[in-house]
Amino acid sequence: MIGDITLGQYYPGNSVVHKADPRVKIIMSLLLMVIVFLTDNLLSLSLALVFSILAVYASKVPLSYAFKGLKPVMIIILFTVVLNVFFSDGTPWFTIWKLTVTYEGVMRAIRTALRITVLITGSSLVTLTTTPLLLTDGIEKLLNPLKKIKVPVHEIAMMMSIALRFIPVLMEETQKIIKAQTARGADFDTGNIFQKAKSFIPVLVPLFISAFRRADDLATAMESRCYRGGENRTRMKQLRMTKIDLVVSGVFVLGLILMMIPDFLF
Amino acid sequence: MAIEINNLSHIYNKETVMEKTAVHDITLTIQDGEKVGIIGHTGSGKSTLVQHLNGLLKPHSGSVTVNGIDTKSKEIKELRKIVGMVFQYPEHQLFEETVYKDIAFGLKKQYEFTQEEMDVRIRAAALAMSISDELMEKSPFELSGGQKRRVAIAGVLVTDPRILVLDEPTAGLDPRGRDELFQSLEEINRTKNTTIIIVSHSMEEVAGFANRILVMNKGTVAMDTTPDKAFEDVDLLESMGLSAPQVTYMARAISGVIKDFPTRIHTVEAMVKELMKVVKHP
Ligand SMILES: Nc1ncnc2c1ncn2[C@@H]1O[C@H](COP(=O)(O)OP(=O)(O)O)[C@@H](O)[C@H]1O
Ligand SMILES: [Mg+2]
Repeated sequence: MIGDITLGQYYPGNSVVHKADPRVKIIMSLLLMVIVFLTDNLLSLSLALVFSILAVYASKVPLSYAFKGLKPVMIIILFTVVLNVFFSDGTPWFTIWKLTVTYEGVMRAIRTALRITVLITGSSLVTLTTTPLLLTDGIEKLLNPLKKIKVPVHEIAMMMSIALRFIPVLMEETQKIIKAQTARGADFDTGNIFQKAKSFIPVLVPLFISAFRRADDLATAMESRCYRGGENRTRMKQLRMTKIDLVVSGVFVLGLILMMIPDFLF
Repeated sequence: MAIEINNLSHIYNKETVMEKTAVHDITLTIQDGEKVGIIGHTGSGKSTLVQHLNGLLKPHSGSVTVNGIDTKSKEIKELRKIVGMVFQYPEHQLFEETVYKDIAFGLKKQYEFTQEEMDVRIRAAALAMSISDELMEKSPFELSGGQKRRVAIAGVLVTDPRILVLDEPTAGLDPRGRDELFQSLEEINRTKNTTIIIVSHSMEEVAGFANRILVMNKGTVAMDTTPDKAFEDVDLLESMGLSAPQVTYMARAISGVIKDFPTRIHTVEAMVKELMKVVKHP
């Protein structure tokens, strides 16, 4: 259940996608998202999906694992699909009971589902193939120009890397506490929604306490090592563009252009 | 009425690159009332093995049967009543407003007793763990580390499990807390014939408490014997990242000087006894 959240979880590997510079990956996935949101063309969207699946394939992350990230948003997808199918204006297609299904509605539903799928797959692929450290490094570098207008870029990046770093830790902790309370007879699966929510109190209270304890420990550790923000800090691993990045960007841009062609033609 | 483990294997993250066989083809039987110590290097699969006993983990192959209940069957609630499990750092599972309520949690979840019956059991569990009455209405978060640990263990004991599993229960306890814990466990085993399975790093602890020792190595049971036999082959133990109790090494050293001095000594008490013999009749 908890283990299904793949966002922010690194899947170790040695593929081209893993080796590519985080900046390249971030920009490319952002571009993909922009295109997916701008286009209304079904063919473009399908191409985008095919392209993201190919990218997953190239990363050697099992497809089922990459798609796990879709599980939590499945309800949202279903919801929008149902809403779109039954409550859109347009040419009536057929009628079930009192609800009229329109041609436009079905099309819109398919488009929305495709969009969300590409969105989640694309962004999970970035986090699955990039270690949290590199990811925030990349984000920090990309946001660097904002420092000129006094945006605390380094601090934001630091907060992100701490958050990302602690996702697996807290997840493991959650699982441990769930196990311990289950062993004491706690039951998380039966009852109505309120009973279920209440049954999580024995998990949430210890989890919060441990999160605060960890935060406190981390703050002490950082302070005792004289951490004082980004000023004059150097990195152990400098980000450098390599040939792989050229190739990856090239392939990606080609893919993006391919996606846009149907949009211009029709 | 026993624990039967047949060809048990467990694999974490099956079919991914992180795949890890944590327990491999283990077969063993544990009888009622036994005091079993499980020792092994970190990562040898001790925790994975014991979490199969109450169905928290399910076998990927093989089977685990406790008092005739297969852990894969639907009678999981019944199973959890029989097997009490104390995890490593159990104090991290405390959550209620008062110590009393926290101990009561498992009892409320697993049984339907009247208020009076519950009260009797809660106080009995508290007594078994030497938790004094004035602590009962305090918040569990105000207590010291050792007190928290005892409260958490009482929260498992309260349902009166026939089998009690403790995963490294003494980690981070001071010597006195450790001794008290073992005394309590000894008492529970003696008065109720409760099976006690204890996972530990410390050879001293296990040698003094268990009457059977399972040595785990790389997901398998490398030895299944009495403390006497287990600590005989020190080289084998050391090759698995373990050691014998310190007094055992001492006994060996002495036997090099004093002829006929026994080498099968694993507890300080036994050592004292043997040394006294030597001192009295030189
Ligand atoms: N929840 C888990 N997910 C993945 N791997 C795990 C998990 N728990 C344990 N392992 C792995 O299984 C092996 C055995 O672990 P464990 O049973 O905890 O050993 P021990 O308790 O003897 O230290 C270790 O290599 C550990 O990394
Ligand atoms: Mg362990």
